[in-house]
Amino acid sequence: MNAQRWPQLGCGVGLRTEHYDSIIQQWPAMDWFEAISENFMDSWGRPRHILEQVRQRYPVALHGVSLSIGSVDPLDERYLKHLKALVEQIEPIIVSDHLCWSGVDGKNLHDLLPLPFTEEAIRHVVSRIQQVQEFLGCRILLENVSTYVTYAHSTLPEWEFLATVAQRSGCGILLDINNVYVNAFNHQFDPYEYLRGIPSERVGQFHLAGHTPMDGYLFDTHSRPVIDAVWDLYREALRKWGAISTLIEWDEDVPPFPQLAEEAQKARAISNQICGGAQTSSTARHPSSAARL
Amino acid sequence: MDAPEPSLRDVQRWIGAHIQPETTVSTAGDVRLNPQRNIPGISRLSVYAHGYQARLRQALAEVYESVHQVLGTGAFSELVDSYARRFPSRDYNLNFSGRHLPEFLVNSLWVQRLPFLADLAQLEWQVCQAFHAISYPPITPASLHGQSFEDWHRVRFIFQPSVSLVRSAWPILDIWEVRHRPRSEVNIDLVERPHNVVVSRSELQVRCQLVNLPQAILLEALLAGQTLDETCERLSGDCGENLPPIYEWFFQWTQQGWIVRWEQTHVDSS
Repeated sequence: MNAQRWPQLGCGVGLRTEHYDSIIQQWPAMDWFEAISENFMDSWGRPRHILEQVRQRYPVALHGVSLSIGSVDPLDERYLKHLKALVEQIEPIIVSDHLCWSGVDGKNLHDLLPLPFTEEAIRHVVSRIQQVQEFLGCRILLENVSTYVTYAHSTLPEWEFLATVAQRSGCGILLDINNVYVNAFNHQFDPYEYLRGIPSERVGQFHLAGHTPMDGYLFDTHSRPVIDAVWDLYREALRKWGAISTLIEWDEDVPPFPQLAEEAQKARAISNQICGGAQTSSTARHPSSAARL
Repeated sequence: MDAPEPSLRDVQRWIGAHIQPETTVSTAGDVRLNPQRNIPGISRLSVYAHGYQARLRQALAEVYESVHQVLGTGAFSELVDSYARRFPSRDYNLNFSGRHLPEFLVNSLWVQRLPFLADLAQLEWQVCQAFHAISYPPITPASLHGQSFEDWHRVRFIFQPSVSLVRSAWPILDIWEVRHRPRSEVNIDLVERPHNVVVSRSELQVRCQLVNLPQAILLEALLAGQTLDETCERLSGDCGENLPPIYEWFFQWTQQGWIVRWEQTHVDSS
């Protein structure tokens, strides 16, 4: 599978329940929205109705939290069928999930749990990504997750693990810049070295979010504005890779939509400043759907 | 000699056992975690254990708003924690991780103190299901005309997936309707006020409405897949000679879009 550039959508925000009314009443200027797949794939009520309306007016990416690509349990066929049905209906620009595992022995821990960075884990995950991409009929992006533990038997740094998985499987990388920062603090590595270790042709999207300092570690809460140090990392990523679709995540203590849109505007301004061109948010863009296999 | 590296399965079982200690038996050997700054790595697993607990509590509080209000946050958290030990989530969708709570409550100590709690939870689960249910084009009242009564007897009606009935010896609809009020303002007479509640969805709006006992008996049987003939037999047994206005009810149900189609059952030619 050839690596390809991913669509450049500009700067968007997550589609959250708290903003449904605001969005459908005003259809605000916004480059694109990212919807959490699980909030829509099992719902044929208001959530799906809202998503359909949003999709008619904006590019939409589907971002999952339950694929559990790294679990040793078999891939969940029911999950994949429901995801595929949603993908076929919504025709998202991007389909993504996380490079992690979420459960074992049939029990779901509902978290994005860290994998050991080993050759065994790479082989396991690569094989499953290929199955998922084949089933969905499109390439997916996998996101680096924030973590609070690391395994003593890991043999690679996180960025090398992520890069190797992407290169061997053909999937893209959704690089969460905030997660790079959080992990760099928690596990004491240089976040800029992380960026240097990621192959440019694999990066299809950025996430930006806020986090919360705890007692001795940073917690990826998505409950605050992006901090300056993460904006600096974002600038470095743009200098390295050029303009790439960027999304502001905000999931706890969700502010009114205009405040969220301001964060997206800030990302847009930084991207324009570094990469040139004037990205403008739009309500009437209909790029083609997710990259096909 | 160094211990062999743990397999990926060992790692996941070991982590799972630390996040859900009461429900998971770890068969894995020891997994070594790196220290995080000056903290032993294993101490940091509490971030995940607390996260699991917090996510379940939040997910269930969103579905079971009224149960949450009745119990208060502290007791509700205890309920969720004991529920999660008995029914660890096996659903990929966190939104549906509370599907077994009504069943869990039926035989729990909680209903000894609050005997309506399991029925209330059942009502809230049905509301959640109705909210997400798929909706099919309904039949119209006019389409019921022209059906002979003899045909009707062999008919099985198929309802919208959002339609369900919750029967309770307690006024669960009254309790549910005040779920957003402060607990201190709630004053509901619980004695001898049974409620039969039909949950349905019109367009995108979930509705809960009370029906009388004969209508509840009829609906319960029809929703369970019985034919009208079988249902009427049961009704006449329960209602005696006071035949209820079945046709009028069907008219109302079709007006509300509850019925999506009907099927003729086979006639035994022998």
